[in-house]
Amino acid sequence: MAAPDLVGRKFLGTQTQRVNQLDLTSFATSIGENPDTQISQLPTFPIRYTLNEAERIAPELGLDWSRVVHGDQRFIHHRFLRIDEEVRADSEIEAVKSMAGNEILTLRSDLFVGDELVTSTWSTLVFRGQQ
Amino acid sequence: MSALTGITTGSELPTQTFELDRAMLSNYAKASGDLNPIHLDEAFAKSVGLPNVIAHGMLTMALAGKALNTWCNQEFKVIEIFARFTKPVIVEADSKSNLEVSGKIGEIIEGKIRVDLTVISNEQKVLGMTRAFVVKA
Repeated sequence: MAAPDLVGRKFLGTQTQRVNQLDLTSFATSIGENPDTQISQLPTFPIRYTLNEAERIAPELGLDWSRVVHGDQRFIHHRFLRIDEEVRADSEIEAVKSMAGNEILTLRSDLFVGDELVTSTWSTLVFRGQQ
Repeated sequence: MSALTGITTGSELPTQTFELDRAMLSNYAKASGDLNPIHLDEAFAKSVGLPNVIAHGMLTMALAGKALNTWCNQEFKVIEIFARFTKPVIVEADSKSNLEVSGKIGEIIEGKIRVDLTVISNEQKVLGMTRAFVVKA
């Protein structure tokens, strides 16, 4: 059970991930886009670098990642990531709610390249309770 | 020319239809790193009470992004996108599930265009409150 006092807890990204052409091409072609599609044309592509952070954080909060359902998702692009950049996700818990046995977490993850904030993301994640 | 050229508040954008199948789910799973078996394994999906394999909410959202990209036609770019995952898109073996994405201009403030999207599969809205902000590229 996640406690409300988790609100405001921060998780600084411990390692960077390199944005690479292969990941971009795989993402584009998986949704039927051309292989030469640019990151600026794929507004949800950065999920590639935030979802694995959420997966890493969940067990630290006592939450079972195998019971997660995605509630909603937002991306704000201050600019777009570029190939070969090293990206780091810094995350913060913005809200925690318990509802009908489920734990509902709002996680903000900011993608940084060095000190520059490139993309801000918010994920609402619903951890289903044991029935 | 971009579908967004010359639009005003209330303008409707041409509906786009996409097809989802198991191969797309498998490719998206690898590309996004989300390998949850509810998107890949029918027996597992049914064991947790789902009617069948369901598409990743993020795949559905990525297809909404694809529709936006087509409307933008490189003359505009998406700087913000939001979606709520309200209903799953069910994807049966050896068949295709349709996804219809339509858009309407919600408002235009200082060159920032809000596009309100409606995303439907099997006659049900599968994404809620789906909106994007788009500006000149």
